[in-house]
Amino acid sequence: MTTTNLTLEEITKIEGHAVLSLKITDGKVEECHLRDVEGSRYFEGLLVGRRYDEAYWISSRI
Amino acid sequence: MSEKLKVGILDITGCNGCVLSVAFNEDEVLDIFNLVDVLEYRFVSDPAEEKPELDIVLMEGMVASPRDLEFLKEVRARTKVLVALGTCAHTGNIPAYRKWTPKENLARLQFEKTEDIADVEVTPIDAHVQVDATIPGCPPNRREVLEVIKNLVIGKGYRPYTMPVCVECRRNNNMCLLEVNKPCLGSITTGGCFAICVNAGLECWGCRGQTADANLDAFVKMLEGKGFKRDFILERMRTFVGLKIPALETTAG
Repeated sequence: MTTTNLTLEEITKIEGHAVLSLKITDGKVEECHLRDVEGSRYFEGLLVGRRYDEAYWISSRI
Repeated sequence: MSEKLKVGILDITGCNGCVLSVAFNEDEVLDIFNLVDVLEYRFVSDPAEEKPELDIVLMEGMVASPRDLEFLKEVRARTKVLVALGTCAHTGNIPAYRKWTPKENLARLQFEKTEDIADVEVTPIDAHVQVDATIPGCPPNRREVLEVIKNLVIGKGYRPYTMPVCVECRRNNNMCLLEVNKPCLGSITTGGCFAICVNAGLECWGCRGQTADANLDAFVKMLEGKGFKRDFILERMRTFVGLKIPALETTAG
């Protein structure tokens, strides 16, 4: 039985940053973790209390 | 022909719209790749095995996690000219408005598993490393990105646009939105965007930052005279570039 741990530190061609970790035993994926490593930006919280016609200016920057 | 300049188009936390705006120069993007060696560009190539020394780096995004800061410092150490690309890198953009947002608005948005999501105060990149040039805008004008790369390649250096948005706006024959009581920030905001928002009938939100000679006090008074509440005006002025107008705290706040 052979176990391989595979980690992609940087996934390309996506918007945002993520790390993919795989644990493969005998050609079968046993564990798969996709971790989001962006800082949190709290857009939802920043929208609270804004006027309705301001929302699309802010949410379009997500 | 001397050796080509080595360029990296990199990003930290952000929406990646700025790095895409480089690729949006569809007619010229191949010329860019001929003119300079683009060694790092996540949307085009896989990450390099060995981190190369770079002449020019266009850096998008704000510092919103320890990982961002680590990456930013690592890039700065191997870069000659670091260009802040877009409003996030320039001012911290909308996420930096968190400074003026009540903490209880944010508290219930905490994610369940927080071990990967470090929560640090959002800062622009020039709060941590030396920035040699800034391409402002959310998103930046794609032609301006070309212009900056071209000027750096031919050794002309970087010359920022300093006129307010109104200069280009009037040239485009737009009706002044202040005259119809819309809270347009164009008159205190640096142009170079060809007044793209006002061309579409929308007021300027000041994403490119204040002009050096903007009279913020008089501007706030003028909008107050049009019936806008002081809190609303300050909120609007701070939304994109709040961290870059500390004068607002004392003169108008």
